[in-house]
Amino acid sequence: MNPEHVNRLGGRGELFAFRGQYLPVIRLHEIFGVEPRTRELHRGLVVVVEGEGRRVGLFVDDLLGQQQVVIKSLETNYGHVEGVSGATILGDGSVALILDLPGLIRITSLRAAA
Amino acid sequence: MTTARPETTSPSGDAAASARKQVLTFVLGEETYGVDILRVQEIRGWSAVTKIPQSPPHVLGVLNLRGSIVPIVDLRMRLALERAEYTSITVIIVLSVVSGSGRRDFGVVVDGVSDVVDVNEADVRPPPELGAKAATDFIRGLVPIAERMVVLLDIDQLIGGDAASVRVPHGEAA
Repeated sequence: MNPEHVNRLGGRGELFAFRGQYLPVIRLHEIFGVEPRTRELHRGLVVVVEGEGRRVGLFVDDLLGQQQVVIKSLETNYGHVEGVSGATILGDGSVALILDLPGLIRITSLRAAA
Repeated sequence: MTTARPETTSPSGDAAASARKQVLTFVLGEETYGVDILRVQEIRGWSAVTKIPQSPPHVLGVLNLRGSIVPIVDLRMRLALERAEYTSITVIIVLSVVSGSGRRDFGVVVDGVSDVVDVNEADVRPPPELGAKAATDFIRGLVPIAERMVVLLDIDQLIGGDAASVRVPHGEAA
């Protein structure tokens, strides 16, 4: 991620150039209130994802891998969390949250509009 | 061989005699609390939880319990008691709430589990009036057991019957 390819939209929202397009950056650490390893885009990883015809870049610390998972409900015992569509149980028994892309895009647009 | 069952009649009638519940007692700091044993799913040791974003502070996170995702609540925080270190005997009591939306499980972190005791409804005293609505919603009553006062918790009030309310302390706005 080259810092020169990142543009800020009036101080709020960030866009980055990707294959001839400008995609919004979603800072997951801000949405989820988690302390990231770095706040600088070019020091972390941006994962380009596509959902409902839209492409966005998710700013994360690390990519761990790719696997098929069984989706477990978070709402059965807890409730709805904006930006999270469910959870899964990893091989070591721990719980990982599954992101809800449309929800994240919604949250990011609301923040940019605020 | 036949055994004749003697009829027992207590002064208050059969209603009081049959109003006995089994209560699991546990310790939090200096106090002993109790919950209806029928609500207890299992008891397990502490293990690391997965944090849930935007959750209230007393919801520590979720755990995988036999394939279900179960929220774990710090009961000390929920009851507004002092924080404590988790030790090797810190345990999680997994409880069930049954409501209109079905059954929900959640776990509460406690200092240690004590005995299961029989409690007579007739011995349960109402909680003291503390003025403000405060914390007494989820106290069913107080009952003397072996020279101490055990605080009986109303699990349904503590967490609430609707899936969203484990995130919101009872009585407070979302």
